[in-house]
Amino acid sequence: MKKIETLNTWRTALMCSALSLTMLTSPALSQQEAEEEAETPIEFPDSLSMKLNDLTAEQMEFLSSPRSTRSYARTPELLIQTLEKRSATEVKAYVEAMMWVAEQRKFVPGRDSDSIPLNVASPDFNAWLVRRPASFDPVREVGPIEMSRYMGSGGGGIPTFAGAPVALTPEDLIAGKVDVAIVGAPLNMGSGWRDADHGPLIMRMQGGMAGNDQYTQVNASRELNIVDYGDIAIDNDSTERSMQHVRAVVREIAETGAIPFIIGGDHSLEYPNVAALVDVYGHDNLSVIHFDAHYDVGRDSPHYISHGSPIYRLLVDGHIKGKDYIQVGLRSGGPDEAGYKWMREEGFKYHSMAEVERFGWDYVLERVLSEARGDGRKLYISFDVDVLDPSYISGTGTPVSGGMTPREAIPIIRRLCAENNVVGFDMVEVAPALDPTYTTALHSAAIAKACLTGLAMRKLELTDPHYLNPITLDHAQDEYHKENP
Amino acid sequence: MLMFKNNKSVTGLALCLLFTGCVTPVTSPTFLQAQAEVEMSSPVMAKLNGLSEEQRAFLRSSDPLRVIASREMLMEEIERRDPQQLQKYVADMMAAVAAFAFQPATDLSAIPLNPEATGFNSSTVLKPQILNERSRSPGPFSVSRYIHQTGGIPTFAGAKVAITPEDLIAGKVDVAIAGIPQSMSSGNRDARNGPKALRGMHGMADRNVFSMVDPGAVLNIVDYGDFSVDRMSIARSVNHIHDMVFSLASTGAVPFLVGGDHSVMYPTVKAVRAVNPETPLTVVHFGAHYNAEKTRAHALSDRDAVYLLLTEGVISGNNLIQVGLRGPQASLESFQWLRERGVMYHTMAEVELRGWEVVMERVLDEAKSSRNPVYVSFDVSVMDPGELSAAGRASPGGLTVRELAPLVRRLCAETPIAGFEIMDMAPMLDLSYVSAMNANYMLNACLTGMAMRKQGLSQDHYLNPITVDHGQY
Repeated sequence: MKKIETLNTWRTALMCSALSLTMLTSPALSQQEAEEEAETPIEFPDSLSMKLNDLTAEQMEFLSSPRSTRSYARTPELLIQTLEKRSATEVKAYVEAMMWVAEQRKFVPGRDSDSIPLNVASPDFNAWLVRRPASFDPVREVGPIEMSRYMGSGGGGIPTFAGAPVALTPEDLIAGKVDVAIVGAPLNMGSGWRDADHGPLIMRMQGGMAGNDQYTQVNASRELNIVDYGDIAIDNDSTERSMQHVRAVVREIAETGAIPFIIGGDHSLEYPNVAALVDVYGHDNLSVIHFDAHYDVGRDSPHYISHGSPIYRLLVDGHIKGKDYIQVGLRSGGPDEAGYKWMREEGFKYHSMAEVERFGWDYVLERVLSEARGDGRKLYISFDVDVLDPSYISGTGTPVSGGMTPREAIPIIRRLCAENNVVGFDMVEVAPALDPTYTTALHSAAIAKACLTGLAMRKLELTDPHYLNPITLDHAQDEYHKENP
Repeated sequence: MLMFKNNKSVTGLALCLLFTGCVTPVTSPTFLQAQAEVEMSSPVMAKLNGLSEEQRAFLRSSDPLRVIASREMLMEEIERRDPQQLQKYVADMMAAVAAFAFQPATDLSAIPLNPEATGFNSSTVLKPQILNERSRSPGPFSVSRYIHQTGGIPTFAGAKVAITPEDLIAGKVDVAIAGIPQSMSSGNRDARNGPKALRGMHGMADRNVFSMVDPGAVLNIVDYGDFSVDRMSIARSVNHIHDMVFSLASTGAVPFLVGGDHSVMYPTVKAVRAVNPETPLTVVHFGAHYNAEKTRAHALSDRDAVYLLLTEGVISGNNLIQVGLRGPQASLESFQWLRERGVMYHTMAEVELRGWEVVMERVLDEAKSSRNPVYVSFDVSVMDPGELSAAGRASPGGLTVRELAPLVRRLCAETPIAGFEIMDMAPMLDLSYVSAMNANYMLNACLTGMAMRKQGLSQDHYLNPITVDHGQY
């Protein structure tokens, strides 16, 4: 299996073939392989044995496989019914037709191209990601750039994430001793409704990430050095082509010690985001918690990466292991049983909305928090806003009914960021065109703010489980809490 | 409106003349109708005799028209009341009119502010350079990591950022675009988000197919941030807006201001005028509303900015051109007042009569013959709501983008522009992108014109030969 970022060069192509060999010897990574092992062949009744006599051994093997025949007859019983209706000649033709389709569907060398060629002759091949040299602008002391002309709370007017100053280079982050660099990644290649490229814009314009947190009375804008790190250049004609550069920019942020907050863009971004942090912190040092209505472990697609497959990609490319993953909020059509079995085998700790329905949110919350605490590892949070119910977040490309509420999401994010060593956070799939109001951006900002608050709490050593400020918990005009524990 | 029946009595006419309100300007239809069609029954005469002289004088004056829509309606009201009711009615009318005026015993003569507020002036104190953590050489700077980037941190026209006048000077800036988010429209209020909406939308500095001039390539354009306002008081915002615009324009850069409601026109025009006091300014005011009402209790609002500019002599009436008037704000008296002052107004009635092409040429001719620098004050209400619904004071039957864009482009190409402002957007009234896009397009038209002028393309109605004709035959 090829790694995405190595598709461009011969040297790394050689590297990847070596790695592929390693992959083949490692535990089964594909659902396909797992299913093949588990499959029981279809048994045909004696009434069909005359008709099946003319079939070759290969044809018989194909016909006996539930997986191979599923596309044509949903169940073995329906397959048998179909065969019984046909004559022996028709049965043979039927099997030949099925096998022909199976062949057509596969990649055939010589007939099919295994890559999409790019126009390397274009003089603007890389124009989209060449950085602006410092000499293009007036000389400035390195560090975050204050945009406001005023002293007080009046902003500069130009919208930035969290109303923060702007930083453009790693040197700016270092000089500014930046704690959190919020960076946009306007990738718009999701398979649902598309407007995620405006996620960063709406989050800058809506505001709401900054300032005092009511629940803890901690003001992240005061306690942390936060910057708007601009947007990462994206090629919106190719997810694959965008991945390398996103990984490079996220890595450069993390290398300075700042925590990258990536505002997407679609969920493909989880791949380069996590890969970048593994680059910096090393394998087996990072856990990932993935909030999403979807499990994003899509396999077996002609495309190596899309917003439905970042986790699979991370596993296959060896950046992370299933046991390092916690999933929260699953409820879409997939995964199916086979998908869940596969996740179990890989060691995923998943928490679907079925678990919430059975045991209640508070129970699942505590379970998730204890898993995240785990062995005290560094933690990455990948937050797909569609984990929330569409009535709160309508502006997202693939909404699914029955989701979390803000009153569930905000505390869990705040606690995760306060009670663990969070080294990265992404918020993906905000697509404002689908929400004519401010609601999507408002809730998304509140959740991002909850993480910033948690990070600030950590800086202030307010890391006790579920810390809330005593003064906001109780008016203290009576002894009610004592009398009613 | 109830018509008086056909002429029956001389008494009636005399009565009408007695009510001096009938002697309205000659062009008034009320007068003409009153002359031709008057009938007063004797009972009505008798009723009036029962009133005091003070009361009759009141009815003779124009004051009743402050509480009732017309003379004819007043007659109806008088006719249907018996003498006792009439007494009460007239007394009540007089009391109401008297109550309109300032009552020293009970009314605040001023709105008190809280001098103990620790941040009384916080929002308008400019940060001294020395308090910045890091120094930088003056000049506009990019907020993009890349040489070419769509998206990223949103600025007007995707331009670089400037914060101080020194930046404008060092950068030899041609146009500095600043937001003034005042939100006190007398209509719908969301002008606060005007600057944000226009920054978030593309199209302000696009190449222009009509001239094939690319304003972003010809002019040095910057985003100059926003100027602070007090969103609870226009009066309190005026001085700071004036000072900021003055300081901007004094550098030689042309201010492009993104409002904000139209009250802001008063400090902006005044400031630009103050930069070159010897040179009169011609103002071309686009809008559905004439905004030259006499001020009422408040010193300034969007409805009287023009009144103040004219009466204070910041601009003279014969240097004011208004385009697109059609709202209900202006009465007959309003237009008379404008005429007396020499204002060259062009309402949608004129457009209906003569056609847009004729009106457009007239406006251009007026602007050019003044030989003054031109300040364009563009209230988005001039546009038809179908093309820009996000207007604070929308009015049906407006001008289209295809009518306005050539006029704006030509004004900005064929006259020297001292400033351009776009006012009174209310972004929350448009759930789509259309209003922001069309607003940016108007700014683009002026930036294009200015770029054309910089390149010497300021002849009458320049259009690029290659785009007007495919040249195949």
